[in-house]
Amino acid sequence: MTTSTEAAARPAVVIDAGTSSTKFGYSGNVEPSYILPTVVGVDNQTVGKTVSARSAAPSLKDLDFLIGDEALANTKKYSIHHPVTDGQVNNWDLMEKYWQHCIFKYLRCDPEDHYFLLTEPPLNSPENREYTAEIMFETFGVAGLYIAVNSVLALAAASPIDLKQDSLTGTVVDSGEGSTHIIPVVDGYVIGSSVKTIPYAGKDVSQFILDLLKERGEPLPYEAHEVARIVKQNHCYTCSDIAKEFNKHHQQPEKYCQRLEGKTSRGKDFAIDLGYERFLAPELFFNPDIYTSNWSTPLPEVIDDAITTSPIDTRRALYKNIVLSGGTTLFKDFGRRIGRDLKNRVKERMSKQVKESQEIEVKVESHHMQRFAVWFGGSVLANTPSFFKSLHTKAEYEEYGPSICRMNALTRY
Amino acid sequence: MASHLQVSQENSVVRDTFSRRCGAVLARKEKGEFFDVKVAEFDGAYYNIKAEKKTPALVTLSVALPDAVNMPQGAAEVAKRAYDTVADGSVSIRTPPEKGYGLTLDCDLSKIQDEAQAALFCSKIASVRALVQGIPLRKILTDLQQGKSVEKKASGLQVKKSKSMYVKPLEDSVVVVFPVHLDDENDATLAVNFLQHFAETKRTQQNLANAPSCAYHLNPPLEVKEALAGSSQDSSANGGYMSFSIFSRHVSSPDKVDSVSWKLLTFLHFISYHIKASKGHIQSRMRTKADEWLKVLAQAKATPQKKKPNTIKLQG
Repeated sequence: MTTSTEAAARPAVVIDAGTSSTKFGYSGNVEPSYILPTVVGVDNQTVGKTVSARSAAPSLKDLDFLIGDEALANTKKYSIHHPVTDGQVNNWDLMEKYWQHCIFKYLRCDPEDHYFLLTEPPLNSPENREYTAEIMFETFGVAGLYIAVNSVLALAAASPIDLKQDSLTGTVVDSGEGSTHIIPVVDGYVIGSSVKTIPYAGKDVSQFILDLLKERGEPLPYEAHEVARIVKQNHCYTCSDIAKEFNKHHQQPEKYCQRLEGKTSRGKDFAIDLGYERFLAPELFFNPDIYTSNWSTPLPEVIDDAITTSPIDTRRALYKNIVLSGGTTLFKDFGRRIGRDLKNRVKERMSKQVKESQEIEVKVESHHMQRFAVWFGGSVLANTPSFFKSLHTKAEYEEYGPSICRMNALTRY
Repeated sequence: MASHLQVSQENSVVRDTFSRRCGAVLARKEKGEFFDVKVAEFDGAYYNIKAEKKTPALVTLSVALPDAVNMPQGAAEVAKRAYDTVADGSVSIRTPPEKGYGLTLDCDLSKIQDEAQAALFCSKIASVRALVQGIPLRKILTDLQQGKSVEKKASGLQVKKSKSMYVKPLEDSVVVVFPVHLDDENDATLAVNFLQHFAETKRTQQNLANAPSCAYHLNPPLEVKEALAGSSQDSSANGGYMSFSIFSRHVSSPDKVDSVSWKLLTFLHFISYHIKASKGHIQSRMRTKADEWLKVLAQAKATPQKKKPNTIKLQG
C-alpha cells in the first residue's frame, strides 16, 4: 500500500482540463509537460452500438481510442468528441477515457503513487465533484485528490507567496478559446453572483482576423484558420487609440505593415500582407461593435460591472488586484489598455459623487505565467505543506464515500 | 495498432523535450532555452532534463531507477556505446551522477546532423531506462540466444519496491515467474480472472502458436519455490503466479532481446493498467445502465388524484 508519506515525497500530478485544451504535468515544474486539445477520438464502429452488442464480442475495442492531437490527426477512423463544454464535463465516459490516456500514455505514472490536483470552473456543481472523485478513486485508485477552482489558482500564480498580505483577493480575467470570464474572488472564495461572461474569446479573434484578411482579398492558403492563429499569436498588439493607429499605419506603412511568409502543410509557399488586423483584432474586446452586433459592452465596462456588483467593502481590493489568465490575454499591452480604460471609467464615476473620497487604485497584473496561469498555480500549490492537509486521501474516501470531495478546503501556505 | 496494449520503451516527455531542442538546434537558433523538468514514471522512476540558456546545444538527462533497484554494473558503458552508434560523441557520462539520480548523461546536440538522425536520437535517449534497467535480464537472454545458458538457481530481480520477478535459466529456455500481488482485494480478484484468460488465449488463438508458453498458477510454482521463500509477500501473492517460458527462437536477434526484456520488466505495470481499464469499463457500463433506468423513471407519471369537488350537498 502506498503510504501517504511515499505519495507526498513524489511530485503530484496536476491536470487542468479546459474547454478547448488540457494542460497536465507534474507539480514542481514551471510549465505543463503537455498541452493537448480536449478531444477524444472514438472508433467509428463502437459509437452507437447498444451496450449488449458491445459486450457480446470479447474485444479490446474499449481501449481503442485516441486523445488530443493524435485524435485530430486521425479523423478518418476516429470520430471526435468534446467531453468538456463551458468548463464542465458533459460526458463522464469520455472524460474517464481522456484521463486514462493522460495518466498511462503521456505521463506514464502509477496513479496509486501520486496525489492528484484537478481544476474545476467556478460555480461547478457538487455532484460533478463527486463524479470526479468516484472516477479518480474507484477506477484509477489515486493516493489523494484535491479539486481547486481555476480562478483561485490563477490568482495564486500571479501573487508571489512571500508577500505579507496572504489573502487571495482579486479579479480574474480569464480568456481562453471559448469564452471570457470575469471572476471576482475574495479571500479565496468566488463571488458567484458577480461572475460575468463575455461570449467572445480566442476563436472569435481568429475568425475576425480571417474575415478582415478575406475582405481585403489576401491570397490565403487552404489552412486559413492556421494562418489566422499564427497572425493572432505572433503579430497582434493592442493599441491605445484606433483613430491614431489608423493614421500611423497610413503615414508609415513600412514600419507598421508586416509580411507573413510560410509554407503550407502541402509544401506550397504563401505570403500575405498584414496591416490593420494587427491592432483591430484585439480591439474587439474594447469595441465589440467592430466585430458583431450581438454584444456591445467593452471588456473594461464588464470588469467594472463585476466589481460594482460585489460587496462594497471588497471593491477597493478587487480593483487593486486584477489578474489576467489564459492565452487570449497575451496580446502586447493588453493589460495596460484594460487598466487605462478602467481607471478612466472609475475616475469619471467618482467625480460625479458629491463627497470627496480617496482615489481608487486600479492595477492590472501581467506576469510570465499568464498562458498557463491556472496550471502553474496548481503546480505551486501542490508543493506547499498545507496542500497535504487539505486533500482527500484514499483512506478517507473509502471511509466516508465520495461526498467528502464536495468540499475542498482553501489553502495558501 | 496494438500501441494501446503495450508499454512503449520511450518516455514521451523526455522524447518530446529532446525533439523540440533538437529542432531548435538544427534550425540554428542562437537563443538557448532554460528549463529544468522533473518527470516521474511508473514503478517510481524519475527523470530530470535540464538545459542552460547560454549553452543552447547542451541538454543534461538524469535517470533514477525505481527504489530498491540498483543501477546495474556497466550501465554507463552500455549507454555510451548505444548513443555513440547513433551520433558519435553526442553523449558523455557524468561521474558522479546528479544527486538523487543513478545516471547522468550530458548530451551535445550539435553533433546531430539532420532530422532523421535527430528523430532516432530522441527515440533512443527516451528509451534510456529500458536500456539500463534491462542489463541483467538482457545478459541472461543473450546467453540463451548464444546457447550458453546453463541451469542455475532461480534469482529474484527487483522491478519495483516490494515487487520482483524471478528468473530461472535452464539449458534450452528461461523461465520467468511473476508473483502478482495487489493491495486491493477487489483488484486481486480481477487480476486472477484476467490472468487466467490471458494464459488460455494461447490455446484458443491460432496465430499465437509461436509465442512463449505461459501458465498461470494460484500457488507458487515448484521451480522457484525456494527463491520465493525469502519474501513473505511473494510466497503468498493474492493475484497468483504467472510464468513464461522463453525459448531461443524468441530472442534470436538483439532487437528481439531488447523487446522481450522490456516487455518482461513492464509486465506488472501492464497488469495494473489493464485492471484499471477494466474497472473503467465496468463503471461506464454501470453509468449507461443507470441512465437507461433513469429514462424509464422519467416516463413515470403520477396518477392524477380524484379531486373531491368542494360543493355542499343539500339533504333531502
